[in-house]
Amino acid sequence: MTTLTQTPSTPATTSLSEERHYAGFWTAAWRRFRRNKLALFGMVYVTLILLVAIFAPYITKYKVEQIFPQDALQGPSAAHFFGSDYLGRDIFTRMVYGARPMLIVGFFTQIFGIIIGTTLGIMAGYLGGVVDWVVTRLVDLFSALPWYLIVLYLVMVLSPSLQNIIIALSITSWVGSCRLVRGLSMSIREQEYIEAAQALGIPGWRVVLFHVLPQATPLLIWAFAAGIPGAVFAEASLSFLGMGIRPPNPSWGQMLAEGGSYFSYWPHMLFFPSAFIILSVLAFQGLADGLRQAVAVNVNV
Amino acid sequence: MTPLLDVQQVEVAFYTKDGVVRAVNGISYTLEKGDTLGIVGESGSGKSVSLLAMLGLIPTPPGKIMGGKILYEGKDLLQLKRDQWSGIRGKQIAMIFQDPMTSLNPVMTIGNQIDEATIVNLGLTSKQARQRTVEVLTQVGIPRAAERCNDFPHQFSGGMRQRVMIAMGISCNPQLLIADEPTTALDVTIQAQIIELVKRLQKQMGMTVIWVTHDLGVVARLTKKIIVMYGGSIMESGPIKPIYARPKHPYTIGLLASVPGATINRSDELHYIGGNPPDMIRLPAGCAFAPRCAYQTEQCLREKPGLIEVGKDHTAACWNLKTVEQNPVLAKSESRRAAGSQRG
Repeated sequence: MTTLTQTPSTPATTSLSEERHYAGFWTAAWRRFRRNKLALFGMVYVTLILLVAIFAPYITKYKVEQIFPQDALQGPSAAHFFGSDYLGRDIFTRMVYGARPMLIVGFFTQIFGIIIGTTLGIMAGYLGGVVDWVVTRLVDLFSALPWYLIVLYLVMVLSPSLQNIIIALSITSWVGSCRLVRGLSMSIREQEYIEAAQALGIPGWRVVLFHVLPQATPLLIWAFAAGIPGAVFAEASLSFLGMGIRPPNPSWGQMLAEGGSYFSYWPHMLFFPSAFIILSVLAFQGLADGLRQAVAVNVNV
Repeated sequence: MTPLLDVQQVEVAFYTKDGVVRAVNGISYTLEKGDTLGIVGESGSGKSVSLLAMLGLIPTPPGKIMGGKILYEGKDLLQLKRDQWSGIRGKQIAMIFQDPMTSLNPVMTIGNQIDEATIVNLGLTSKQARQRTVEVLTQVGIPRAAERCNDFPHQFSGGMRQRVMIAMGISCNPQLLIADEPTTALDVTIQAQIIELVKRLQKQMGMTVIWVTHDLGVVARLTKKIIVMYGGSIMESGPIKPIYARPKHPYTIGLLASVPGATINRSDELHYIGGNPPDMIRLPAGCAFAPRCAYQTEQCLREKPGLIEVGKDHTAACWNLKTVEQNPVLAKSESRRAAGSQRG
């Protein structure tokens, strides 16, 4: 007993008065993200590509449509970093400008897809009943049909252009995020704090907006990043088939198609577009993977 | 004067795959303004469901309100349309939930969660709401309330979270506070604090309180009137003193005998009521307690007893009150035997 009473009480009081520091959600997420090498590479690459696409005119001294007939079909040199194609256009310049449609398609299809998917998913998951039935059937329908054929058909009908690629891809890309958000909001709906909020008189739309949606944010960030490689690839392949960006505007897929016919003699025309398509898809995938690990909702909450 | 709350013959059922679960079977009681009512019963006796009905929170489907009225200031809550609830929930009737660990949104600061209630119900601006939040948090005894508004629920202990829940409940000055087993998830010392807190708040704010629990000790400290529920029906109701001193219903007798005292000897056998709680899908046609009752007669199995007046404001639902009165020991000893015979 005496030892108990003699124990100094100072440590307890100091630890109480000390300012406690909690790692916030985003700090912890960044810590986890940093550990993933591929994700870090993805982030650096994506940042670079973004900067290149935005500042394209300052990066290359040539214009996209500029032709150097005397330089046609040359390998990489100091004048033309990536060489030149059959019309004598600078491949480096076309690659730099070609990053623009790729990124635009990637970002916008994901943004539209996520807006549609989240709205439908939250409604289905939270309201349940008939709404859920209809949305689920819609998701089933779109998952059952080959999305690439739908996109191809839509682009054909709407006439190939950047805007129409985005429309066609958005129509098919909402399915994934819709399924995710539906599942999540179904499980959140059953939580006691939702019942507690309802008992307090919080109207349904507020519950959805302030209680359900914020919890979907990490998932959506991941879904956004994870959907981009698909969209990038879709844009490239549509352009490859001649259903995407029309010449003279450059696109990596289109350049790949052109390079294909010259590649036995001038492989550089094929090499650069394919290498960068692969790198970009890989980088976005790595970034998405890192984000998924970083924002894993169950860790540290 | 009309009572604040007048519950009349409320029946709630749930339609599940396995059958119809008759959760609440015609319960009635009245509650005057400023009173405290304790509702006691074991798990699955319909306590919580009867209260969720009061807030229109029974999920339909599968739930369905089969009949009855809940008159709140003369207005039938069971007839309210979806959009008519807004003035009632939170503002008039507030509820504190059982488990403070799961009843707070883990990804929202507690300040924002309490703000939300006053913004929605009282139409405060976010600045006024925060002021009010700090006020109620201080009222429920959260130290450094203004700073702690920015903390998340996981940064609070269980007792503190229950205080936050209470703060949330009282933030809009409700007339009626429903506490659904708010002390069950807490340890005993914290329980006592929470009970004292609610008592103090009730006095300060003139609230009417319904306290649901399966802890007979808790109700004894809090309320003047209790209702004992079993199998979705009221078994006995009345002022707490006569019920604790001279319980009339065999179930209440058994229940009170089952509370172990602090002075119990190691060699003493603990008392329990034999048998199992009723299967709510296949409730007996007569008294819900009959299969476990030592006084069971044929009438008990056939007909459901109504509440019979046994004292001032004191009623019990039993056909054999006289026999029980003459031989109350049977309820304590025989129930164990009944369990044995059921097992064999």
